[in-house]
Amino acid sequence: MKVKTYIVLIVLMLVSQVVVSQTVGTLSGVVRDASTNEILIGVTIYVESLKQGTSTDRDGKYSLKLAPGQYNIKYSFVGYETQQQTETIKAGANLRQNIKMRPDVAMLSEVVVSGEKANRNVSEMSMSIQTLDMITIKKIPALMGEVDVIKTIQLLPGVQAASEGSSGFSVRGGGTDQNLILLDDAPIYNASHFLGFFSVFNNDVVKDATLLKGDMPASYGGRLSSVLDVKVKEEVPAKLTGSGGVGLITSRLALQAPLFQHKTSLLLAARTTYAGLVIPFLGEKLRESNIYFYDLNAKITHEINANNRIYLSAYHGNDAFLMSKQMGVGYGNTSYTARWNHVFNERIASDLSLIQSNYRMYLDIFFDPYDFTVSSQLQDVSAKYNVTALWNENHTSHFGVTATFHNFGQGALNDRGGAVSQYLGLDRSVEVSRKSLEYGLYFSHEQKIDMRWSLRYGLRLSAFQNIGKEDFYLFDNNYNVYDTLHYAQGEIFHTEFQPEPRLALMYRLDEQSSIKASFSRTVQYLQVASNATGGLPFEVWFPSSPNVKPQTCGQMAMGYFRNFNNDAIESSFEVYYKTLNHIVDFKDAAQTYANLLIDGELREGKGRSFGFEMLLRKNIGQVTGWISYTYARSYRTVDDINFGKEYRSPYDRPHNFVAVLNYDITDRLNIAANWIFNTGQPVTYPYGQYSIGNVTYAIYNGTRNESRYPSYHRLDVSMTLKTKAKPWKKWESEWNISVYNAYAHKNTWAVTFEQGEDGTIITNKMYLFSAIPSLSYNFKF
Amino acid sequence: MKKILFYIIPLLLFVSCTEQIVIDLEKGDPLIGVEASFTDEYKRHEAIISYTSDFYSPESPRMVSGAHVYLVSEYDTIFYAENDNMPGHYLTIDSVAGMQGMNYTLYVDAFNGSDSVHLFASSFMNFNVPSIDSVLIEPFVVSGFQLPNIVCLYPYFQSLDDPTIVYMIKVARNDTLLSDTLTSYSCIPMAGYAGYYVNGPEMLADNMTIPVAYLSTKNLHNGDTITTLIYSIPLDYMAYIYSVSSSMGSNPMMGPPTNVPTNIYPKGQGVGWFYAASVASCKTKYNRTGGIFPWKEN
Repeated sequence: MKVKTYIVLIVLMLVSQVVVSQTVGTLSGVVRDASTNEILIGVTIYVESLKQGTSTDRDGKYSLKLAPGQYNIKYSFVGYETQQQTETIKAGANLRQNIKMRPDVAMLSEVVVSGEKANRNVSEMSMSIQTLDMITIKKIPALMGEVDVIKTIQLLPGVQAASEGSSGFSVRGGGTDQNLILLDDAPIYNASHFLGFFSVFNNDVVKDATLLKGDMPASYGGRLSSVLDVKVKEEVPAKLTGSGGVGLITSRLALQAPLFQHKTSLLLAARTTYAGLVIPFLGEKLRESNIYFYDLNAKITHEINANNRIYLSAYHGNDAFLMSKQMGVGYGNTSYTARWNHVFNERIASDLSLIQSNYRMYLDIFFDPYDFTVSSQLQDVSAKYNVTALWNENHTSHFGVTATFHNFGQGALNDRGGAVSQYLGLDRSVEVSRKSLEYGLYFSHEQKIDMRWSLRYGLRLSAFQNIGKEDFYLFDNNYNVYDTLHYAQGEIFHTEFQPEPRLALMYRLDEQSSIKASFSRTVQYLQVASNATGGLPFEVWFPSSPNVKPQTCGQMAMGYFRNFNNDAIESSFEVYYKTLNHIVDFKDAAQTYANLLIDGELREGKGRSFGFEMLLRKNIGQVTGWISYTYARSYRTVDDINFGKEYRSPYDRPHNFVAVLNYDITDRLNIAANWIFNTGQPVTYPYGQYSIGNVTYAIYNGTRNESRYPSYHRLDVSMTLKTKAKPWKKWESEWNISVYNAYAHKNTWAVTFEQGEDGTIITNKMYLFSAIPSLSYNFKF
Repeated sequence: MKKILFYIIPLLLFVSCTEQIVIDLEKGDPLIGVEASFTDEYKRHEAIISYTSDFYSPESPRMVSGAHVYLVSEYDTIFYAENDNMPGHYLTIDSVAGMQGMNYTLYVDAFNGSDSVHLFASSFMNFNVPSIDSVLIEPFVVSGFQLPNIVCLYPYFQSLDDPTIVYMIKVARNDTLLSDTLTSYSCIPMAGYAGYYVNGPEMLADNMTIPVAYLSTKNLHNGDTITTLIYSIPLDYMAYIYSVSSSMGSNPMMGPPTNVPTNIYPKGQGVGWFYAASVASCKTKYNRTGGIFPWKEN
């Protein structure tokens, strides 16, 4: 009954918007870069006489409904020459005008060409959103010289690295598993390479990355905290182009070519490391060790005709570590996306996507009789259909449906030696798999009420079903199994429905400032079986079920946005409050690996996060960058943990300050630096010791996360020198020298205690990095 | 399966560095620690009662004197007396032996510095193997290579058909225990192999071979008597031993550190463990020059 009501509501909302005047005409088209043919997102299209306008969407498209007449249309975008054209609009007709904008040569040496419309933060409804283009990302000093999307995201307000060097990140106090990471719409369940030091995103293929921290559109679902939407380049280049780089431990190459009369583009990219070649020389113990990762990207974009485009995108990456022929660890992701973009008319377009994503990990031990392999995987197959309707310049709707089949290989044990299965009381070959279906039906409408007020409302209806074949364990109040239910292959044994309303409001104070507010409710049906806080690269995912309710989050946010100096400087102040329900934590000393009864290790509770974020960002000029300060608190209350009282979540780090600076000294020489300060991570320390004979162990008082590591701070610097640009030279290159953690601050990664020979306890701080210099050579042609 | 993570940690260790630091920790009231066992060996059994101390305290643990310690079974109450020469060490007044298949509860009435506390812990004495047929001492071979100065002990015995039983191994040379430290005990959970004949190097099933103990040959001499003791212990006591081994430190890959489990009640007033165990033993003569000879003493 409840579901029917929602469906009726959606249909009513949808129908109410189909009111389009037949007495107007339409101006529409695609805006591209004249030199590279790249589509341009966020270009302002402005009708001066009407003081009305719009901007290009993520496909570079725009559409304007205009009364019949002659208009002077202005196309403007930061870093490009403004174009003006006079167009005649006829009633009921669609005038298609594709625009190619020329880069502003005078400005290019001085500006950072942002993928965003200059005043987007003020004029658009979305709040709690950050978009980074690759030009910005590439200028930021990077660990081992490898610029990285996620490492840059970690410098944004409201975002914190899970731990030193990790690709895991926490958004507004949420867990690392609460971020939906998408690569061309395909979910990436583990975005780390090289134990987290790098992410899976090859910077040569990434077009841009958008992080949504709170005001999540209804088209996104499945995670509580954020969406990181990474798009791979898809423009058709004018000619064969390439880019790549050689660093101290990685190399990469990307090629992009036009095919079939420039209707098709093909992108191929590869990246790998040669760190493994060095390891055997680091010591006798590592002589027969190896470490490597690689990833491959491929994308084909084909324009069938003006109204139909298809995109085929693929990613495959693997990490492996072999230690002295005694241990091997590996993990990786593979994803495929096929998207068909169809334009019905100048107002309505759709995207049909078929997506497959696979994440896998394994651990091999070769030490007879401890000779075994533990592995897990998660495979998703999804279908997604999204419709975007630009009814007129004041009304835009998005609606669609998604369905995903999750196949959880929750754990497999192949115990060749027999010792582990004996220890765990399992058969020597065990495989636990669980299956589920996740659905989403959504509708979202954005409405400009008048010149000042704008409103966006939407609803996502999500559903989740557990499917057999499964032996399902029932737990009593003491978390002991009291019964086992056996479900047949394909049998649906549990269904959950959840409404996810979304609401956003904007009041435009003037051309340069606005106030925004939003509310969103999000639901997460997938859990990670890990109580580690460091963004462990070996994560095991499992579904919600009758034992484990889906986690929910309600987030309210409000913000003030103001731009200065003709949008060259933008500022924002956002405050938020989040409540979380049915969040899970693990009981003390939980066994999270290879545990068939993992549901019994979980403890359910609630949480809250609140804070504010301040950002001051300069996008144009010789000096660019941003300064941000975040105050963020995050607490949890979970049965059986901390005596049932509220405790700090592992991501409660109140103060976060980031300064990012880029300075183009000349056309060829750039220096950059960033400095980050974070309150130390919460930690549980012992208060006493107990000695038995020669052995001493620590005593904890049952409270959790009462102490903190020392504060974290780090300075990274880099210098980039480009080769002289000459019109006849097709090959452009640059040298980059960077130092990560320039003043070699020993940031705490872990604290361990050991008993000295005299029986006293020694405390050791473990840190991962001192100052790390690196040198890389990057090129493009 | 936390132990698996110990294999993973080295991945990060190869790039990490450590630095000794001092952190300012909270101090709390001491708890009373109980470390006691009761076996089916005929002897005076011991319970060691001590206070916990501040985490960085360099001093030896303060022992609990004047406690009232007694053991209760279905049929009997056995009293302990404090050893005059070793404060905090309590011995059963008489030599006694426990009975397999019985439940035992240890009571400790003591003063924790501010209040009197009444602690108790229960443990079931598992059945044990009737006897160990023999023990083979062999060089330690890994992947075809014989490691110098290390030998392995392989027992022969019929295991009991109870998957909850764990065999804890202690080894003595000439009646002196070679390793009597909690974390050096070797534990073998029988689990799915319960009821199998433990067949020396072809122990258990298939190709699985697990030596029950490793000995350094540096202190072994021809003619030494090696005594292998197999304690049949409850599964939770093995979990306690392993927790002690991994209790120190915080690590973002391991989750929050937690207390080592205890079976001392009431919760929050005591730490440590009391366990009941039945014991089987076998003596073997060590003879290096003449090769390795399994030899069982009657």
